[in-house]
Amino acid sequence: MTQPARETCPVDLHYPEPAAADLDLPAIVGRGRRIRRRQRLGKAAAGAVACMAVASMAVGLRGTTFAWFPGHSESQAGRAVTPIDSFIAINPPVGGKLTLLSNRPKGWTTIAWATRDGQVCWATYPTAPGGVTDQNCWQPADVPGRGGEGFGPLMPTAELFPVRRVAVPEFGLVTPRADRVTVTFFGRRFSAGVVPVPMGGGKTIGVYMIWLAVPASANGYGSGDVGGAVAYDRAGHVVARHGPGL
Amino acid sequence: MRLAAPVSSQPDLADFADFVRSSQAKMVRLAELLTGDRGRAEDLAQDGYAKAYAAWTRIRGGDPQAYVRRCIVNANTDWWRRRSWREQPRPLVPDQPERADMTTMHAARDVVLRALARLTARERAVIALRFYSDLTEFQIAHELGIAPGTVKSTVARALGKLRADAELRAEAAS
Repeated sequence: MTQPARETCPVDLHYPEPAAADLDLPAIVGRGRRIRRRQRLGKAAAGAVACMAVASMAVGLRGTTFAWFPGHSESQAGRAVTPIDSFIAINPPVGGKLTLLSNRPKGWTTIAWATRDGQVCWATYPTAPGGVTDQNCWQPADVPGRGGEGFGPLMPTAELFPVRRVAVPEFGLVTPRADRVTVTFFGRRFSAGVVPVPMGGGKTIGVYMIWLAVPASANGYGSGDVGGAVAYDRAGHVVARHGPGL
Repeated sequence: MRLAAPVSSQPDLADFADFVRSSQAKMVRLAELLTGDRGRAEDLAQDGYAKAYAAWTRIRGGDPQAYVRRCIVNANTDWWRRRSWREQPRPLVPDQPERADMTTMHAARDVVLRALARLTARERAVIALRFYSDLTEFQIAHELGIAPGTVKSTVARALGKLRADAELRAEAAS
């Protein structure tokens, strides 16, 4: 790519160093070894099940549930292990079920699942090999009302997707009775469909992925910019409300 | 640098130690520009190096600095966005120096960090990668996973904000 004439930065980022960097190398190596061990464990677990579910989700329908631990007849597929597999192996889904949350924008897949220890996790990754991925889990305390009432906190993802306008995908939890949610953000209303994710014991939790537009004039954003949220059931009745600051 | 004897006793550890020794100043500075906080910067750099160590056999023949840089930028985005979702973003560097005998060196650094703190996380990242790490727009796009056009517009927007920054203007005038 040809670079245009070089701009100059109004601040000097090469300012004199007040204190020399002094990182703790033994601690780095120790932590590196732990990461390596964890990766080996995750890859071994993921490799052992050799699941095809994650890859097949790219062409599935939103809300479709896939088995992460397939039967022996399917386990010889030998698909290459992805970073998402490692994450799932570390946070195994209850009942071995993953749910497709979204396969938009094109070329990206987002899945959600509840873990055996009560967390609810999501992971988003490009369908093509390589590239940046993102994943995270809500802690059990963040899952709305145990009985599934109300809203859980919104959780932002990195600005992974190559969108031209300033829009940020957020993930949220809501009562499984909800079919759709609206979130007011910087005074504008945004809407998203809710996907029921199995939590085990016949229970589900509602998970949604919502795209929120950040005004160009905004210098960052936060929960304070959420004016409120409303959840509706299939018939359009309000089933949950949340005030500002979701 | 605190080097324990066993760390350099194996060939790959010796290589890695050399790599850390030769690049840590740059990486800590990059993280400081992103976070505005020296302690947080050292934590990010340390985490980045730990991940690099975990992947050392794979990355040592390539560009390990780029790997650590990506770890730092991604980890900072991760930290910032979680923090920002709970709190309103504000400059991380205190307006007042911590000590009355602050040297000119510290003052210069604080002015820069305060100015950067008034940018968004992405603007800080592109400015730091462009003007400190000296990457091209294409390389930044690759490292941040965004389009080159987005890098270009973000750089332009951030430079505009810095040029209009009242404190920087006052500093330049004085």
